[in-house]
Amino acid sequence: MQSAHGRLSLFVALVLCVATLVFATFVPPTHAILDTFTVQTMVGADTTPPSIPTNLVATPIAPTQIDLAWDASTDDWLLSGYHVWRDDILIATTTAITYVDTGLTASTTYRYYVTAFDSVFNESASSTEVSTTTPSVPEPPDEEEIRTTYGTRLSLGKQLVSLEVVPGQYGAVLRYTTRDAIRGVVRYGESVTYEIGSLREQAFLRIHETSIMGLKPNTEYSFSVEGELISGRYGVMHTGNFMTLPVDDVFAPGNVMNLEAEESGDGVVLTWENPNDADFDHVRILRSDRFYPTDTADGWLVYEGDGEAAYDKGAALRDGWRYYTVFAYDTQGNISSGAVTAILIGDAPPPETETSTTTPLVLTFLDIQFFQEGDRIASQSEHALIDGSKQLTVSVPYDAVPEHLKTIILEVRDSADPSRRAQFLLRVDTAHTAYTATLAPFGIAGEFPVTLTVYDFATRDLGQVYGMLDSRITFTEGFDEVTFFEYVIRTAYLVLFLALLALLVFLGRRLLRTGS
Amino acid sequence: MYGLRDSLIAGSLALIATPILLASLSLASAQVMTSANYQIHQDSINFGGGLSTSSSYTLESTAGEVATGDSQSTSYKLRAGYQQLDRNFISLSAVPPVTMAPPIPGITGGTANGTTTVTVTTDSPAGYELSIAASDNPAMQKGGDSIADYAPLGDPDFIFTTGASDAHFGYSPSGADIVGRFKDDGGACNTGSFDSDLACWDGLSIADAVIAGSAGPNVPSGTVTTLHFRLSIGSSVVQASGTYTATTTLTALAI
Repeated sequence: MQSAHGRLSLFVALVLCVATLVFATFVPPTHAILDTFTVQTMVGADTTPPSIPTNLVATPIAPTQIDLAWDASTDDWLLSGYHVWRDDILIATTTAITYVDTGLTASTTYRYYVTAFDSVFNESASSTEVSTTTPSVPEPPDEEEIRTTYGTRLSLGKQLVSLEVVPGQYGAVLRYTTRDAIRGVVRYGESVTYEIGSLREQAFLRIHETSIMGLKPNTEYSFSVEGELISGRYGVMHTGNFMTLPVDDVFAPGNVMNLEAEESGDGVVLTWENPNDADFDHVRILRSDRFYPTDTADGWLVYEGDGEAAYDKGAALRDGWRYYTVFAYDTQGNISSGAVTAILIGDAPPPETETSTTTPLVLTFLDIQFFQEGDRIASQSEHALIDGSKQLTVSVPYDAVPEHLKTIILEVRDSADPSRRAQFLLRVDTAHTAYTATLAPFGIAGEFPVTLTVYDFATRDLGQVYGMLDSRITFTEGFDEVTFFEYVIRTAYLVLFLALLALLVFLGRRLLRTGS
Repeated sequence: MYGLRDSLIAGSLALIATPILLASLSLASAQVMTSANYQIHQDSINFGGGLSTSSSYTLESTAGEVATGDSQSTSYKLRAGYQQLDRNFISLSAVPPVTMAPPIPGITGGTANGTTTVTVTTDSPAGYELSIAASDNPAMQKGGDSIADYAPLGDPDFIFTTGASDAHFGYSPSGADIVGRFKDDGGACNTGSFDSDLACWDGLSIADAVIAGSAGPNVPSGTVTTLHFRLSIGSSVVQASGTYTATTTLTALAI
């Protein structure tokens, strides 16, 4: 009885230690992050205009250009922008505090002022007016000088202060600064003839930035930075080359799953599940009344975006079949083979499915190849075992099907729920070696009957191949996420806990012995 | 007497041992550094290395590690050493103040709108949850005056509706990751899979309300959720004029 309190406390200490250890070791940590902001609204009439813009400066740059700059206004609620006036005529509305006025006449004086306005269009009084005169048109450049300086063009190399070329995968950005204000031109192409085109600036600037788009990845391009001086002289500042970046990812994303079409009102509601590719970007849905669209420009565009539902308004106004193909895009521009579905509106007859007898299909399940993470899955007569947690690529060798075929469609059904089925297009690869489709992970275990149907150019069913995919789910990734370091730390905690426990027991027993 | 001494000493040991254990756990496994728009966690004990900082990032370098991997340019993702296997990174983009427009006349009533966006990025395998809460009840306050939070019956209202004698402040989230409560079928909320524009309105509360989430990671680009705010004052309401403010907190949780 005398040591009952001590034993109780030891027990409490033990429970606390064990609870702490268990909690810290086995309960996964969660991390939260907060951000606090305000939402404000004004009740009451806003009759207060913004403050008057100040320090308006007008700088003549060229015979046809005057640059304007001013200090920002403030408003008691929400400043919306500025009006720029030239000779009492409103010439621009802008949210910036600079404006480049072009298309002017040489040797002409212009008068400017600026006003600011708020969200209910209260307008400030005018800023201080400024006047300036555009320079006169300079003498035309000496043609002889142009010929002798740089071939048939003048060299303006000394005008170029700095140049930076930032290539991307499908374009490049050229940033450069010039000593004087210049109207820059960038010409580019795959050769020094700069055959692709040119990009010309509209205003005379000292700081330039030109974006070139529509280039091919991993390709060398030549470029020429040229420009026109205010004096009218035109010349070359720099020539060079750059290489666009290679595309890291050339693999198509998986197709969308569980694509369904349902008539609703005068339209069709489409629902699907986007693939789980980390670089998935968006889907593009096309519709055709004749057959499944087979490429991204075949048919009527229904939807483009990263959602998982769309409404094809007007698609149910007429009877007949509506065929849909959903292409998934990744951020690199790779495109999936396409998931397909069709819906019959009204009582129109089903599409012609007469089997052609002219070119019988000679194809078996064993001709269909299945790949996961680059490894081919061994298939038996009409059966293949797949990992349901991984993407599945289905491939039919190009030579295994008739040359004149139009479409190959793979249908996958869930034997546990026959109403769930998904169809996918198999598209020929660029090397014309195979027709392929990549399916997102099934995500569940079970048996999935598959049907591969081959259609010819007249949408006639040439034949079908049947088989079964046996999906198994493996659980191996969870282990990989626990590192060796974590094991060491957890073991250290256990040792520490045992040491503390031993110390507590030792001290407790010593106290008891001393007491007795 | 012994029992009392036993109790005091053993109790003291328990009180000392437990915090030590807790402290050792937190020291060795997770130290979190945060700022308004980033969070770095799972700091580590190393020999050498150190912290490099600038106004927009903090980078910890470590020395003596064995494995390196996963570097990625243009998307600010770099993992090196054993920390590369830690998966519970989460960031929340800073949300600037929202100024609703236009101002609402206090006598005739009207509607003001405001919009902002927030990006949540996580590499947590289980994804994230984004929730919103107000600091006050009701959220929109001005001194002693306030405007009621929008209060739908059960599910969010597909259309923001305010009667002539009502004044309400509500919000509507949209984006790829919004939760089912804010999805719609084109006419009602908490059903269907659409994310109709400016639909499914709810009122803020001082309790966290989950508005978006994912079941997996979304690195490196993250997912944008747009928050629409709307304040509507009925024509027969005489609302005290002035600036009303709702202090709002977004919480992103790596699951």
